[in-house]
Amino acid sequence: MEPNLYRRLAFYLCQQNQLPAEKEYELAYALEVLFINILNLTLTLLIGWLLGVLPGTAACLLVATAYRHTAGGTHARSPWICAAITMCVFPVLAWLGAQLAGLPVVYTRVAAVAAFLLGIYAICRYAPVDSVQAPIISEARHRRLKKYSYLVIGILAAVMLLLEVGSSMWLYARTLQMCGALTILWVSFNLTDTAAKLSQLLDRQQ
Amino acid sequence: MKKVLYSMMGIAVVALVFIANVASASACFYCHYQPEVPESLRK
Repeated sequence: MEPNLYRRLAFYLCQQNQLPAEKEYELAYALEVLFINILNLTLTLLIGWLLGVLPGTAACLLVATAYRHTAGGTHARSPWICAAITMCVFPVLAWLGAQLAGLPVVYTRVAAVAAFLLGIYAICRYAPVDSVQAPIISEARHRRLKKYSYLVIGILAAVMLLLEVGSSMWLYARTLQMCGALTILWVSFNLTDTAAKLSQLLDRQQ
Repeated sequence: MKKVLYSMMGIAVVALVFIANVASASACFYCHYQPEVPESLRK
């Protein structure tokens, strides 16, 4: 969708509700965020479904949303590159998770512990990672997001532990555990400088 | 009918303002593309 279309829609909503002019930018921003995320989410789940790994893809998306919400990460300059990355990476992570979950239990446990430790390290070293379009200006907000990132990784670790306990009763738990671990590793990688350089390289290809 | 449409637009505006605030308060809303945050929401 063209950026002008968000602005026009926001302008119309502002006029109808007699809102001040500065609200137009906020509404246009919300419309853009909403549209891009819904489109990405739908297409990613569709690909996951086509690959036969829909629950795994949904789990990967949930973990990534929770983790990236506070820790941030590298961003593409174009929504189309973003869509391509999301549509490729998460179904592949889910497929990989399903394959690796078939290995002996020790591998899933090692992956979960490694993901947690690397996640903690990445948060400690890099989080929160902002972008030029959405800079984190205030120091207090920076500290708060870092603190929440630790909280999120703690919650994700607790969920992994619950899946470990529940794996004797629920066969799919191992797959979800592996999907979660792989996603944590992916999002942690997205916090690093290497990921930022890779993203710049992709932007230049456009 | 017009009244219903008008109130629905009001609800949409409230929801959009809420989304804009949540999105700007987070480090990243979810996907790998970040639209430019309006000046009024930067902090």
